Amino acid sequence: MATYYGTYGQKVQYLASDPASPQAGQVWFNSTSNLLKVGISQTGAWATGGNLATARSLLGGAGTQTAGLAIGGNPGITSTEEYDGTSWTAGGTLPETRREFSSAGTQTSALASGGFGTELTSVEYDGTSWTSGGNLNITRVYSGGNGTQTAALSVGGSSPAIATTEEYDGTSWTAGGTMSVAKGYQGSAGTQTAALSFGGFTTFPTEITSTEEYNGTSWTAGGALTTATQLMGPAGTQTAALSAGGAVPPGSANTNATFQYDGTSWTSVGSLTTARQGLYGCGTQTSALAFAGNVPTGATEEFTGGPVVVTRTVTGT
Amino acid sequence: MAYKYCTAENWGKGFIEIGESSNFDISGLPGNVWRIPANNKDANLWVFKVAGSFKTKSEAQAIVDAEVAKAQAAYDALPEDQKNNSLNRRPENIVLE
Repeated sequence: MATYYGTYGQKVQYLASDPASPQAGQVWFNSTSNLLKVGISQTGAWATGGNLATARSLLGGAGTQTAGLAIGGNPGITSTEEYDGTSWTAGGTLPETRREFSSAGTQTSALASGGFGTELTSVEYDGTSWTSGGNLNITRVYSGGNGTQTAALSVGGSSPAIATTEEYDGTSWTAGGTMSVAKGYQGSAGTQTAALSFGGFTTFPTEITSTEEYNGTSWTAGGALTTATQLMGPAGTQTAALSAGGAVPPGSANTNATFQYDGTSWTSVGSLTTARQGLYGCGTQTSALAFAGNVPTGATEEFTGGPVVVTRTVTGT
Repeated sequence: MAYKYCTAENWGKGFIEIGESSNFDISGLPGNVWRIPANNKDANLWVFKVAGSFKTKSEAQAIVDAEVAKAQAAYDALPEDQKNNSLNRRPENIVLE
């Protein structure tokens, strides 16, 4: 009979407890639990983060996994909350309720524009308080947001959906390139001059798979989502994006599926613990934050991109 | 796959860690109900860690139903212009597997 020693030239480790940082391919016998274990490499996984004080959905957000911002949302919320990598604390209060809008920027320099009942207006955040920004040229609800407070992009929106975009310079909005596909409730990632727009709806509320890439002037087709999705939590850049959860057919059901984009195509990675739509996301493809969403919830999850090494118990008959 | 259910309050950071969500499927449901695989030692250890309380499927279903009913009532109380004009829709019932 073949033995592990005979095949690999080394013995299985005999350990009283699992190693703190197992390596991919490492095999050991846990003498306390009497279980044979192995370290395997996975393409990213989610863990819980601190819960928002106010449960909300259809919100906006900005920032990173360790310096995130949750903005407004449904139902009728004016509060913002700031995340430090562990917990959320109260931020500045919006001048009016805002939901289903586009957002951009960082925790201390954010922008929120458009939205249900605030279709034309923008507000800017300095880490303490919100003040009025420039007005959009076209009423936009359900639009996507990219970039920074002084170099932002508002993408599509409205119902029926529109394909136009607008660019913000910190003072005023001007027309940007027009997408090939009109969309709202889509995911957005990247910057004003290197943006990604994915999923959403063209005819409400039917989800689509379209992905488009922007170079600051014009939009071109990118790799389609593997599943038509809208209202997902987006993160990352044009060439390294993440799409977490959202609404999928049939019936715009909640999903926990998560996908990453490499500039060409989308592939599946570890799923959210809680399936939801109307959440928001921020950060990078390998260090992302997903928060809030329907029913509504204040649940927050943190994504660590792969490869991560995790422990699996070896079982068999 | 066979599942079992528990209730546990999600305290946030550390409630579910990467080593846990990678090792077995944890699904969060309304009412702090969590669905985990049956006959999974790591899942059982996680329930112990979070001081979870195991529930039968019917008990878990009742908790989820009550939570969804609360959300539906909140939706029903909204002004008409807040309804059906977006995906701010009436929460749907959830049937446990």
